Parts: sequence; structure tokens; C-alpha cells
Amino acid sequence: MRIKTIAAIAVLAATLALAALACSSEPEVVEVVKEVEVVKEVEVVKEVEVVKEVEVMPTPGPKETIVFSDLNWTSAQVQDRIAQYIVEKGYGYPTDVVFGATLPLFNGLRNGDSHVTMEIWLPNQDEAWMEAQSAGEVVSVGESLSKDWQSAFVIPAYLQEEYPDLDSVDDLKDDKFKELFATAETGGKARLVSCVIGWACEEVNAAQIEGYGLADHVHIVNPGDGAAANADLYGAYEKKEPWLGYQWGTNDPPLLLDLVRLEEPAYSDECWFTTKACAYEDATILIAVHPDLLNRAPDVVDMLRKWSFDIDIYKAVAAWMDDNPDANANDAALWWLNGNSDVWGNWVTGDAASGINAALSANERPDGWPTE
Amino acid sequence: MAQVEDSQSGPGSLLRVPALTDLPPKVLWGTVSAVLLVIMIACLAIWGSGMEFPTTVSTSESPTASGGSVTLTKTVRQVVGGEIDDIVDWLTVEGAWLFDGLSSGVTYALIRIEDILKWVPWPVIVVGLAFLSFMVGRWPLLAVTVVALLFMGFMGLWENTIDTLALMVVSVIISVAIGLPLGVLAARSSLADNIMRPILDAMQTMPSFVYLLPGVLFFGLGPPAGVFATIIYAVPPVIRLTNLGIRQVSAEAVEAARSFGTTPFQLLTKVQIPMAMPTIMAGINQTTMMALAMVTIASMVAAGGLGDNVLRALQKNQSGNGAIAGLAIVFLAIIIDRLTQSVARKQQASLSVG
Repeated sequence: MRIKTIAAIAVLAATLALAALACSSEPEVVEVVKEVEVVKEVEVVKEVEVVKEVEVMPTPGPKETIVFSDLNWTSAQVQDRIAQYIVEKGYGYPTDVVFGATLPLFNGLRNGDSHVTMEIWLPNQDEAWMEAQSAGEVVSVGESLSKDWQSAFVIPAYLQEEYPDLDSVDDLKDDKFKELFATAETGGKARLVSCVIGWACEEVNAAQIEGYGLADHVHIVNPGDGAAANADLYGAYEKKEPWLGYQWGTNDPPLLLDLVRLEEPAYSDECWFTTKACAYEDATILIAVHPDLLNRAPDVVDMLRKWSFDIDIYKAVAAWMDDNPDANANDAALWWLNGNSDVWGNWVTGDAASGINAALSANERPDGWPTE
Repeated sequence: MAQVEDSQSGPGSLLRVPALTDLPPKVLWGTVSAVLLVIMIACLAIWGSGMEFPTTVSTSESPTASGGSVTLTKTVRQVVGGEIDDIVDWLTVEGAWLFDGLSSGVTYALIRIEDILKWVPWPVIVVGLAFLSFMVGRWPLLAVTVVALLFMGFMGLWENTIDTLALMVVSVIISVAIGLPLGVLAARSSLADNIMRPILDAMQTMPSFVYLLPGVLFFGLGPPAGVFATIIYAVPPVIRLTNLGIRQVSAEAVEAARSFGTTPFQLLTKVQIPMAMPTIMAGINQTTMMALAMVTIASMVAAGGLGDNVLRALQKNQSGNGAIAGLAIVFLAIIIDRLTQSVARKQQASLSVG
């Protein structure tokens, strides 16, 4: 008997639930349906557009996704977002990003897992670059940022204000300055935070210090991770303590903090390929693509060849990001694209420019942008 | 089933339509609340289908050069994360005297230990450890020890092995100094035990990178930051097993000691800790092993040692070098584990005899 009653009640409950569902959901369902319809319409329109473009364009087949290497520093990510916006909204290719560190991403570019890298740093990556280029696995299509950045030994600006005489690597031989950087670990030598373990700069910096005659004056600390090196500098900067170390252009601290370089003997090929007792060569930053892209998306390659996102532009973006701590790379790209159509307008075709402007005024965001 | 029904409702019940009031109140209310629950879930499912978690705290407009603006959103995560950043920044500056002091102390101890170990010629260390191994583990352990030490030497990893050993010794000494009293406290007070347990869980599961960076902000790059990270990861076993060991001391033994009029301090030092010693030693052994497991992580913050070799091999994509450095860490762990375990076993043996 009990089972029957429970069954009866269950049926009752189910009916009630259905009734509740029906009555409460009526308006919602309609809305949902509407949304779906709207989305569909938009999709249809897009498809039609794409099909038309394909008919006009000489390259056959649908436009395949273009994958950008999302190197783990801000300038590369901002450039990726801007390029993604232009490629998606102006040229109609879907885009995507792969995250990672320099070396894995470079291998990805060689294999064709990613198609565009906006920043290949030379000479830092010289060996791998030459090898890949001679094997025809990567193609350079131009430069980004510009040549004035380099890797160097730096100190915070507040320290140089306090000690104006401390302005070159030779000054580190002076006991007065050595003491500033000495810690319990260093036994009276100056502590110098050098390069990440295993990076090319680890050996280069060691050779430079040897070449400058600083081996007896400097104690080298090599962290195992770039973020750890940054944290060490941030900690010292926060406390306004002396700090001496190696910094490189793509890293965040040179952009966020006021650092000054110590003078080093000027770069020359002769010195670099023998003793390395001279400063790093000014960096060249290449835009590289996988060779397949040349045939598959010649319009995008043309755009990248005209790309000129120089260091002053990036410094303005970095300053804006510093003023707006809530902003991520996506926001920064949107902000820059909105205000600088005269700059990026020179890189793109007229059709692409109107597509991008339309997307910007509709406040659209590319599908390929990662959420942060 | 039929029998039960019959006996409950009597003859003719099959024809009667059951009224709700016939049900026992428990079943009735249970059913009613079940129905309400179903309706509630159904409603939530419908209303909530298009709903997202409200993650946005506020939005702001940032003007662009063209006269438009970009909408920036401030998320809950940014607000909470910002608060934590502020606390870490405050600690970095205001706690500098404390962290600098700790850092100097740890560095001093490390340098002394490294100096001593590097001053002793390697053949002395090899023969000494071989003798020790023979005492506790006879020929098999002696063979393992000698092969392991010679491997480290011939692979050019001797100095880095000693750095790692010094790092481990200092980490373990500090871990035991912190962990033993806390373990005793946890054993004596259930409140302390309940407070400590989730903290210990967090220490063991929190990804090391999360506390590694604040560690660098506080201590700077170098061995002290590595020791700090190692202690966070390695101290829980001492606390847990000290607690367990003392709680496992038989009530009879404690009762007997009490009846002889021991003070609580005597009870702890003369009865509970000695009887818990095998378990505590197992805890220290665990701590040692976990400290070695942190070697590579510690190298990320420039603590030095064998972790450097592993990291360098990873960065340069040299599997062979990575395997060699990894093996050296494993060998070091095996030697230390066997030696400390046999000490624990001897203590257990002497305890059961005594």
C-alpha cells in the first residue's frame, strides 16, 4: 500500500514540477529562443560574407585559423592581441594563441603548431634562429619594437642618485661600492643577480664578468626562474635597497621600474666572438612566420611586413597599463587600436581598415583573444 | 511484501483509495518537502540557466585618443588578489629586519656546514660513510653507498651534492626545531590539533610556486628563500607523527608514571617522548625525504646545489644531464634514508628490550 501512495505522490510531484516549470519559464524560454535566433542570424551573415570574400580572393578553400605564439611577457602579448584584432576583423581569419616559454614556442613555430611570433629576440636566440632559418622552417617578415633595447647590468635609479660615482661596471672594483651589494652569502663581494640558469646569458654574463676583471669582486647569483629574479628586484626596490643585476629588454622590471645601466665597453664583433669583455649588441626583434603562411594568407603576411610597432608606441601602452592596473593585454590592445587608426591604418588594406573600424565602433572583441 | 501490506491495512484494503491523512506524519511531511525541493530545483534550473557568477565589482571607462573609450572591469579576484599583494608588500618592507636577521642566520649556518664538508677530502667522506653503512646495513648498503658516492664524484657533482646536503641538513634541523614542540602541543591539546590540521594540509598541498615568490620578496634570491620553501613543505610530517606518536603511548604507561608522581614535564620527557621516539624518527625521516624532493624547487630561487643541474638540463633540453643530476638526488636520498631509518630501528629495538 505504502508503495502505491508514494508512487501516486511522486506522480503528483512530477506534475507539479512540470507545471512550475511551464509557468515560470514561459517568458524566459521565449527570450532564450530570441537570443538563439539573433545569434543564428549573425552567424549566417558572417558566413555569407566569408564565402563572398573567398570567391573574390585567389586562394582557394576556407580561411584557416592563424595561431599566434603568446610569449610570456607583456609587449609580445599586446602585439599579439593587436595583430589578432587586425587579422580577425580586417582579414577574416579566425585566430588563436598558444601560451608558453620562448624555446617551446619557437619549436612550435618551426613545426607549424603556431604560425606567427611577434618577437624573436636576437642575438639572444641567434643559434636556434639561424638553424631554423637555414632549414626553411621559419621566415622573417620584418621587425617589431626597435633596436634600442639591450641586455645589460643595471642598478635602480635611486641608488645612482645617492651614489653618482657608481656608473660603470669598473666601479664595482671599488670597495666602497662593493660593500653596498655585499650580503652574508657573498663574503664581501658584490652580489650580482645574473641570468636564469640554463639560458644563454648565464654563460655570456659569466664571461663578461671574467673579462671585466670582476671575478674577485662580484658574487654571481643565478636564479632558476625569471619570475624569481624579478621578485628579488621588486623586493629590493620596495625597500629602496641597493640592487645589482642583469636585466633584459623583454622583462617587466625595465618597463615598470626606474633602472639605469652601468656603462660597459662598447660592443664589437671582435670582442664578442673572443673574450666577450664588452656589452651586449643592441637587440634586433624580428617578426617570424611559419613558411606555410606565405601561401595560405599572403594578405596577412603583407600586413605584417608593414607592421611598425616601435618602442615609443609600446612605452605609451605600458604607461597606460601602469595607470590602469585593472587592464590586461586585451584591454590595452583595444585602447591602442581605438586611438591610433592613423598608425595601424598604414599597415592594412582599405577594406581591412573599414572592417576593423566597424568592429571597433561596435566594441567587438576577437574570438581568438584568450580570457584573462 | 504482500503479507506486510495485508497485516497493516486489513481485509478489503486493496479496494480502498488511500487518503493522504492515512499516511504517518513522517512520510507525509517527507513527501511534501521532497515535492517542494523538486519544484525549487526545477525553478532554479530554469532561472539560473542563463546566469553567470557575478565576478565584476565595478567598471570604469578609460578614454582613447580618438575620443572613444575602453571599458575596464574590476573583478572580485583583482580586488582580493590586490589585498593579498598589499599585505605581502607591507610585510616585505615592515618585516625586513626580521627576514634579514633570519636570512643572515641561515646563510651563516649553511656556509659553515658547506665549509666543513668541503674541507674534508672526499676519500675521507667516502670511506667514513662506507664504514657507517657497513655498521647499519652490512655489505649491501656498503655497496650502494660506495657506488652512489663515486657516481656523484665522477659525474662532477660532488660540490653541488654537498651544497644540497647542507641545504637539507639546515632545513631539517629548523623543521625539527619547529615541528617537535608543535607536535607535542597538538598531542596535548585537541584544540591546537584541530587548528593545526587544516594549516598542515594547506602547507602540503599548496603549489610551491605560490609561496616561493613571496619568499623571494622577503628573503631575496639565495639559499634562505630555498630553506623557507623547503621548511613549509617538509615540516608537516614531524608535527603529524610527533602528535601521533605521543597520542599512541599506552594509557597504562601514562597512568603508571602518574601514580609515581611525575610532573607533566617529566611525564613528557621521561615517558611520552621516549616511547614515541620510533614514530617521531619516522616523521623526521619523512621530513628529510621531502626536503630532498624540494631541491629543484629551491634552485629556482638560487639556492644552489643539484637542483641547478636539473634546471640547466631542462632549459637546454639535455635529458642525459637531467637524468644524471636526478639520479644523484635519488642516491643522496637513499643513503640518508637507510642511515636514518636504521637509527630509528635501533631505538625501537632498545626500547623493546628496555
